[in-house]
Amino acid sequence: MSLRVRDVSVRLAGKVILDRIDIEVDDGVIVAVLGPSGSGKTTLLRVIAGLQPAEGTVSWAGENLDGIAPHRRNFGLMFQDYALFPHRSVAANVSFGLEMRGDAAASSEHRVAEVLGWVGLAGYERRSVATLSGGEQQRVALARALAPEPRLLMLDEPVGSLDKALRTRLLDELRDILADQGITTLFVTHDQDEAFALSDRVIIMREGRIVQSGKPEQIWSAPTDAWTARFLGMTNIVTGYDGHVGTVVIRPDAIRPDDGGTVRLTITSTAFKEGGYLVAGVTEDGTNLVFPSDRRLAPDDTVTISIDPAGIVPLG
Amino acid sequence: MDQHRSSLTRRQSWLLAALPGLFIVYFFAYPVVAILGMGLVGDGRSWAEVATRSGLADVAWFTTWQAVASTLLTVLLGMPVAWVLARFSFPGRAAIRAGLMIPFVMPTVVVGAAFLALAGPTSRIDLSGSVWLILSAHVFYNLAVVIRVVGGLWTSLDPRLEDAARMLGASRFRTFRAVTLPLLRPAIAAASSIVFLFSFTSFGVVLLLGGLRFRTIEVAIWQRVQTALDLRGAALLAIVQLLGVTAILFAYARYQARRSTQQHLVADGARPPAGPGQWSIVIGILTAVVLAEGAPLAVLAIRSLRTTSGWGFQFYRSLGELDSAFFVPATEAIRNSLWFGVLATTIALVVGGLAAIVIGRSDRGIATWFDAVLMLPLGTSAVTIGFGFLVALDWPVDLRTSVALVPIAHALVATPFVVRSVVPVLRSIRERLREAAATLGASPLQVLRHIDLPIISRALLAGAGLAFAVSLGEFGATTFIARPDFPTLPIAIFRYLGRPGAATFGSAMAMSTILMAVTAVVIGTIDRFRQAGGDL
Repeated sequence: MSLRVRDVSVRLAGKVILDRIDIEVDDGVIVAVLGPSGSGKTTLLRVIAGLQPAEGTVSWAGENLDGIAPHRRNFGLMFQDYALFPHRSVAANVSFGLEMRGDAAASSEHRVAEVLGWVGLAGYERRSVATLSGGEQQRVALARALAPEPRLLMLDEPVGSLDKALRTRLLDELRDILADQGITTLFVTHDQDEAFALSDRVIIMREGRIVQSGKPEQIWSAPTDAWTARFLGMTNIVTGYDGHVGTVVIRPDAIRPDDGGTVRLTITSTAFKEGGYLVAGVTEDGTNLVFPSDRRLAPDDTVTISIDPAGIVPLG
Repeated sequence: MDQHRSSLTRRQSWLLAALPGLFIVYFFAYPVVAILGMGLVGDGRSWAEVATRSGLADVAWFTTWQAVASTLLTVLLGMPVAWVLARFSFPGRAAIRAGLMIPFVMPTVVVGAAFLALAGPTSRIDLSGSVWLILSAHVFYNLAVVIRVVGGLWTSLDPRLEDAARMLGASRFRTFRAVTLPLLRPAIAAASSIVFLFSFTSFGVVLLLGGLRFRTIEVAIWQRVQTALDLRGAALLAIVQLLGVTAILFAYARYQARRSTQQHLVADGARPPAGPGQWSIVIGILTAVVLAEGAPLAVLAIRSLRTTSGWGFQFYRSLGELDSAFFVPATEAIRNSLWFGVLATTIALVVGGLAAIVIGRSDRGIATWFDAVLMLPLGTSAVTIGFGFLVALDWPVDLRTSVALVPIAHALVATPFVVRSVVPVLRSIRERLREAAATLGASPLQVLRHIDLPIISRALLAGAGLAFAVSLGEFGATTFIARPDFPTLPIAIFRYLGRPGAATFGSAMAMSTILMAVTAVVIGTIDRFRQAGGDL
């Protein structure tokens, strides 16, 4: 039982939104699609859900889903803006999928209570969705998607529109629920922390194409190119450093001020960060480097630094 | 991708559009074409002869200048009221604003009867035979348009723009002329065209108040048919009327398309009156307008209770008696009106509901086109519709003496109100909701049933209420097609007013008061629905 996306392309108004995408999501696995906004992530989910026509094929367990309407796919999709039904209560939102498949009221009521329990909203059944906070709405949307036991759960920026503290908490809860239920999940996000925290596998998208995919550790230790490295928040991306062919990333913590060092550097700026200083400087050959420092270095100071070779990561 | 809408397919659109489309074609387009044919195809008389006989030139001239005068007066008198209600916050503001809308929803026959009660031949101040009676009735009726349309924009104009102008050295008057007025211009133009259209096509008020001297084109059409049996003359007048209305709507649409000033709008820019000076201006203007708008309706109710033998319900009791002018007791008219109202509302809900779904859910092309077609009966005068029924509906079966024509005509006039109530709500439903429902297993039909319908149900109810109120008050079309043995409330009032005698006048007052009360209750109920359904 697995999802297979083969050679899927979408063109809208002459613009290529998705370009020959291949994806596989195995049973019980959580896959994150990571990319900046406009990279086609949401469109990909919509294609898989059947909401967006596309070239190529989407299949589940070997069955081609081409021509199967969204409501016959039994895929759950949680929308970025939640899309809660404003005219229905919390319980009536969560039970919607159960009603559609014709569940009896009693069993449906039981299931609603169960799923609301998972997301920490036990007892919220009769509340109007208009009275819920952002975090509560997110949980109702998740419960609604989970209730009809979808064979695939898709989440579009599941915690994207919430504030930072709430995001961290909900992300933890989400990971627990997904692990407990063993649900095959595909979720999209623009936030690398979210992707790495939640998923077994990460797919990085850029302008409608997949640029890299693999386990979080693999991607982190070997970004495929400078764009990916920069997108993952890496700095010190240097081309032709000290005999390396191509581009490398020098991890900031591999750099330290060292009077016996070999590289001379002029400080350009200093910022206080997390108990220490984050310093930026430029080397004599014009390379910009960022690194942490215990002491404050003033702009225009000249220091020598040493670089730990283990912290130099070649790209590709 | 975010703009992607799951529109209905072309096939679905056409299927849904079939019933409302046929309804409009047979009961609107076909009669209008029949009128055109009758007016343009000769009957042995020359054009000039027909035009002269029907008094075309005089009638067209009067219709136009009284509409211009009514519009100027309404805007001039409405602006101070709009200003006070838009710019000042004070206790009771919402209630006064709602109350000032009441005259606008009153049936034209009630307005006419009210002005006869206030300043007719039997009143202390007798303005009968003067054009001022017509003009003041038009101002009375249309003031709400200016208050609503201009006041609506004025309320949301950022008051800091005026503050900024004052800080830059502009006097109050210069500020109004250089900042406020230009910003309000689109709303003033919109209100003016609406008032002009209503005054231009005014029928009931002019028929009741115009006496023998003053006739609008509408009234002239009616007279040609009812008294002169000159159908070709009536058709010619109707064509002139259609051309006039089309020109007004065209000019309005062009103006709407051209204006595009981006405005910085606020929710409500009103401030409490500052100091006794402002308070006295506010109180003065409001007292004047409440008196002016309240007096005619109050006098109407009072005169329905003031009998020759003191105060009492004598006029109301007399309504149950069989009167020589009627084939049935007048109370039957109340029953007929309620029945016609229910039937017309049902038809309008089905036709308008289906049309709204087509307009709200189809792709742009079909939606725009169908929307325009559905609005045509609203722009066309009711008299033209009634006259058209009389001219055309003898084919394929002769419907002209059928009782069913009345609710059908009412439904035709009411359908645009249903469409206008429902379409904005339908369009405001985010596509995401339908998609979410689909991913949860809802088929397109289930989406319509579980998402669209519950959300538009309040708007449908509001539309039904409006349709019912429209049917209750409809007069122009009904005069042509109501059978003598099935009068409606407005028809009965008109017949009472057409005959001399204090007793029949009293009966007219009583019936008008009943119609006024029923209309007020219906409209009040809709308002409650609207407020309760606020944020959907």
